[in-house]
Amino acid sequence: MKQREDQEAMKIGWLCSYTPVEIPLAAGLIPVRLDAGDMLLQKPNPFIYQMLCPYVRAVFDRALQGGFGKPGGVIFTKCCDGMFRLHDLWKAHLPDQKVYILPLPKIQSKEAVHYFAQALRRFSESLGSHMGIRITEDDLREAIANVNRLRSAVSRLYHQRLEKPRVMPYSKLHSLIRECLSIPPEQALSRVEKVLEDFQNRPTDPSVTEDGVLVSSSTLDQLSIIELIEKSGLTVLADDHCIGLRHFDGQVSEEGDPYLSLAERYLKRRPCSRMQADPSHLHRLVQEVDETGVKGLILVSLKYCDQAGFDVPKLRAMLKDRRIPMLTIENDYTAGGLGQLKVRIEAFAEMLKEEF
Amino acid sequence: MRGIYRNFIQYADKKLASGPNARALLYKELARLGLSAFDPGAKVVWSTGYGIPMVLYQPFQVAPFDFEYAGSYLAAGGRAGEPLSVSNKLGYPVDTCSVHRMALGADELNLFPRPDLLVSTTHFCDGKPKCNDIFREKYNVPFHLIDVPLEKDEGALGYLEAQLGKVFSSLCELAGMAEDESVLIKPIQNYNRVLDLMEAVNTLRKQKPSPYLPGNRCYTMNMTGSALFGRPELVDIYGQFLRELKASPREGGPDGGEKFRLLWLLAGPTYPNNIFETFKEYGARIVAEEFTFELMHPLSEERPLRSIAEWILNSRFIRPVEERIEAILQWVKDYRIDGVVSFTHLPCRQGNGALYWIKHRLNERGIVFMDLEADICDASTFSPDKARTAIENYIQMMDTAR
Repeated sequence: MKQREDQEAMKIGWLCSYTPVEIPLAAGLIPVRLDAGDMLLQKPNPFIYQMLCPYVRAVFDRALQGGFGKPGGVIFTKCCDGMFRLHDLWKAHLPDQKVYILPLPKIQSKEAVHYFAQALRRFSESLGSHMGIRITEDDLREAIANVNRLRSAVSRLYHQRLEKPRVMPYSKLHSLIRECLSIPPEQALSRVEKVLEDFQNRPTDPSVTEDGVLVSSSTLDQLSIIELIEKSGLTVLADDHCIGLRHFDGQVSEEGDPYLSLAERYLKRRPCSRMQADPSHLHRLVQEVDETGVKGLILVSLKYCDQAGFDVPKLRAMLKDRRIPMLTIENDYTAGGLGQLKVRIEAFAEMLKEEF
Repeated sequence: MRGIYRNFIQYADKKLASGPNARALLYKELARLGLSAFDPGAKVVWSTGYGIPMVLYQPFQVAPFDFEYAGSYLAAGGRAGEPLSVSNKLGYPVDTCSVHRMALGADELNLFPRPDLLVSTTHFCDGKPKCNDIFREKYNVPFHLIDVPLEKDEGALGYLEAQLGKVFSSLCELAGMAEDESVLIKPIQNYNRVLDLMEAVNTLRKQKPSPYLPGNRCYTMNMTGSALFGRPELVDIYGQFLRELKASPREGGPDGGEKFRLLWLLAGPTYPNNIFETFKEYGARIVAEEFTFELMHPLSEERPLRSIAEWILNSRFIRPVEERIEAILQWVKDYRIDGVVSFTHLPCRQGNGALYWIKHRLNERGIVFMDLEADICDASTFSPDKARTAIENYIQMMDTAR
């Protein structure tokens, strides 16, 4: 029991893709992404506001049920209103868990990078202090190098998969990524490299782009939704969500001040919709559509996600200019919602097939 | 919007014909400022009245404009339907903030003056920066998104001040003025004089019983007044408000006398409703409101931009909710509050996300809390019967808790 508790204490939970996992890795911890998987919201939770992101609510439900065990801590970022309130509620209702909150600039100016770097340095000191250790810059550089290698491998996997998507259905890729986000990067790298080896021996699939779509979301943890898309006959060629390719975009420089390098990479990597970036999240998304040659885009919009919600009209217009059909489906993490999604996805797939 | 502002002037002139009236003076001044934004050649800056003190814009010959406030004025003028409908048709989600939906819809209907510059902040909520980004792209004008840091230390202040410096430079460029922070001194002095008057108003309201004020009068005075922070006219307006308050009955009054003292959290409805009339029936007076305190932080003439950075960082909506809760508890004590009413604007995730924890912490101290669900701009979701029932139940709870 004690050994299991000790093992759990070596884990540290994180939620937002902008969490600099290199820092807890440098402290000898295992960053574990917290998600609710395919858990659905079934009962009202009296502690959390109902009109809040369903991902946040589902994670909170799972946490209250002990679904994440007793990690050594949880790292939040102030990435959105829902996440910030989740931080407040986590502190209130799970007081025996150590909680950290990081600021997250929305802009990428030189000043923002410096400010974020300072915040990361303070976080590192705080984490080290809590653990009774000192996180050295060498420790951090080693962690950075490990995560960089993983990022590079995952990016290669995505690109290779573009030519041979049937070798690895997106659902399998998604499951692999989710696994990788909760184990040490060296182990994750080993798994990804094994898959890459397998890819090398497989032929390119020329018919690949006929039914290719890009799936976009804020965060998309639910395998069930991905399976619905695949069962409708569509092939997910590319993605744009917090645990997809954009999570692995960009390398952290292994030269100079590691905190500055971390800040630089995290603020300037491919942005999500909460960032005010140039080029913007939408422009990068549409660029991905152009580069991958997908025939359609499925936006899995999290209910009550204002960040993504405000993007919908603009995205639709940009895709219309390119004659790329778009399906917007709302994910509210309920069973009834899934039923509706199935119908809409199947209709979209039919429409795409007729068009192309 | 021009129609709305002209209505303000009509209302004000009618009221002022019978003598000085603070609310009328305020609306007249707001209307003058609002209409000036439509003058040919006007330089217009879209900003956020409760996020950045409007003091910042006063030295320049610009018309500051807050699209959230403007949307609220439209809603108050019974003109919410069309902008909300347009916003829906454009594809913006209906479960997002109606204040932002109003702004997006009203802008699409060309009701707003065209901006020359956009300035906003990242604090308060996710929706505001997103709306500004939409407007930036539409109007192709510079947009300063002030990234508000999480902490309140020297590093945070420096970061924020540097960003305000860039906004200041843009304003100087827009106005064709040399960069000299001392131009902010006069507006700061005006604001600080208004602040003194607001403090005096609050001191009167701390009395038990407090002077009678109709409805949510102080909230509307302060929120709309914030659009004029830094202007000398506001000093006279608040001076008049203070005089009216001093003359207002403490004992008795239109509500039959104070029976309950309320602290009001967050915003309020902009459309005709029965909320305040119902409270009035039971002698429940709003003696303090959270947003008034949000607007009340002294500014220093020494280092104006640094001081404005401090003003912004004093917001209780930036850091974890415990800070907000501690402030609420202090106000409950200072104002001898019987009940705390949270105006739960349904789509406001930042305001309501931790609502039940706030309630729990207040209940622990025996403070009776009301979660009054309604919308700021969208009257279609408002039920007068439901509101009345909820308020009557709440009055009973407060009575029992004594």
